[in-house]
Amino acid sequence: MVITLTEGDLFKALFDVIPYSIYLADISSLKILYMNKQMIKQRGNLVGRKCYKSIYGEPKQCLFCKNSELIDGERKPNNKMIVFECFNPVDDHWYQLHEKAITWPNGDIVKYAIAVNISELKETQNRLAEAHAQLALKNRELERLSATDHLTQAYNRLKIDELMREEVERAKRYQRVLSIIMIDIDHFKEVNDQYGHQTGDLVLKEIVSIINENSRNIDFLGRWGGEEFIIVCPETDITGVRIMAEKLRQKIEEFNFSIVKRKTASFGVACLTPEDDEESLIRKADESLYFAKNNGRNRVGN
Amino acid sequence: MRSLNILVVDDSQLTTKKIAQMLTVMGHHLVASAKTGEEAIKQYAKHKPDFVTMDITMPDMDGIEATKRILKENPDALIMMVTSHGQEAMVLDAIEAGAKGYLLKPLQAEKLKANINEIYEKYGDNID
Repeated sequence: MVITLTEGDLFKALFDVIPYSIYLADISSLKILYMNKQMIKQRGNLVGRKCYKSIYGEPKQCLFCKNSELIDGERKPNNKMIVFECFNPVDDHWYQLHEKAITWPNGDIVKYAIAVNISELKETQNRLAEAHAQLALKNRELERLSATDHLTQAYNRLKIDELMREEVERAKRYQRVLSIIMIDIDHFKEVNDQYGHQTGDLVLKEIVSIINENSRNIDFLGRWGGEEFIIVCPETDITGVRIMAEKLRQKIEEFNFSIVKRKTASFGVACLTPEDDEESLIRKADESLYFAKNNGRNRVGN
Repeated sequence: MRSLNILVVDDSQLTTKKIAQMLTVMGHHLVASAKTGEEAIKQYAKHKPDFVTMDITMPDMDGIEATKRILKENPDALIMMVTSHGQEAMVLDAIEAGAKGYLLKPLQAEKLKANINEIYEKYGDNID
């Protein structure tokens, strides 16, 4: 088929009547071959320059470039019109782009892109998206507040109970090992009596930060009661949990607490067996802790 | 508010430049920039910035994944998404990943400033 130049000119004349920005770019070289009057008015004449650089301000072909979706395996136009939205950082506007590949009169495969400025519409949509984000952030904050112990930022009793239930269920279902550690600060009442409750609160916070620094990301720490904490340790057998408890015991023993200077804690450990449920697991850890308390404190129970 | 060291993550050089200009006017300091998710993680580890602006679509690892990874190592990192993706699912994914804010392009200096201040006052530990 012979296409005369006149037909190309006709195309251009047609593009000039359309009140949106239109440009043509060579699919292979990515050079701009033509811009309609509307686009020249807005962006200046960029004919001969690379589309990604001069239109989008990118150093190389745009990540979102749709050219490969406009041609077939033989690099001929596939007659598909692709419509997508895109933000242009050069002029800070949002555009809806309508792109299609065609064979230009000289035989080159080119893409034409019609760009409809949709900035006002996007402004509304974007405000909505930002509102969604605010809402999600508030929700997350509320979730966090309802799950954490206000003083220590460890999980509260309600949340650690829930996490433990889930972990017990998971360990049973997939036959994984699971252990827990119960921690009770030794002679904590004396701190409150001797130094006052504020100092007691400080000790609790310091204990929590020691535990956080010396446990893994997968462990869950919760405040079980006044001066009692529980750590749920997934993927940990009885040997592992003993090592972990002993390490925590040492770290607490060696820690220089801000006012009381020295403080120790007793530890109970238990590992889930097939017969156990959540309650019996806690009972076993409690018994182990009781043993530690009755055998001189500052130790890990049997 | 004190001057913050900020890491800007965006695959568009132009956007990075624009954000950097806005930050400078606000009295903050662009401590580093990154064009990919992987690079963002490295730059974060190297500079430990006070604040991060994070794009979502990038060549290797996207900004949501990079946010997750940075927060895994640095739970106190303050990361705000600055992106052109406004779909609700994307927004929720980003917040779920731990982003502390979400702004859409085109970025307005006033909005950027208000968001940095709000996030820093809420989550930052030492306000001067």
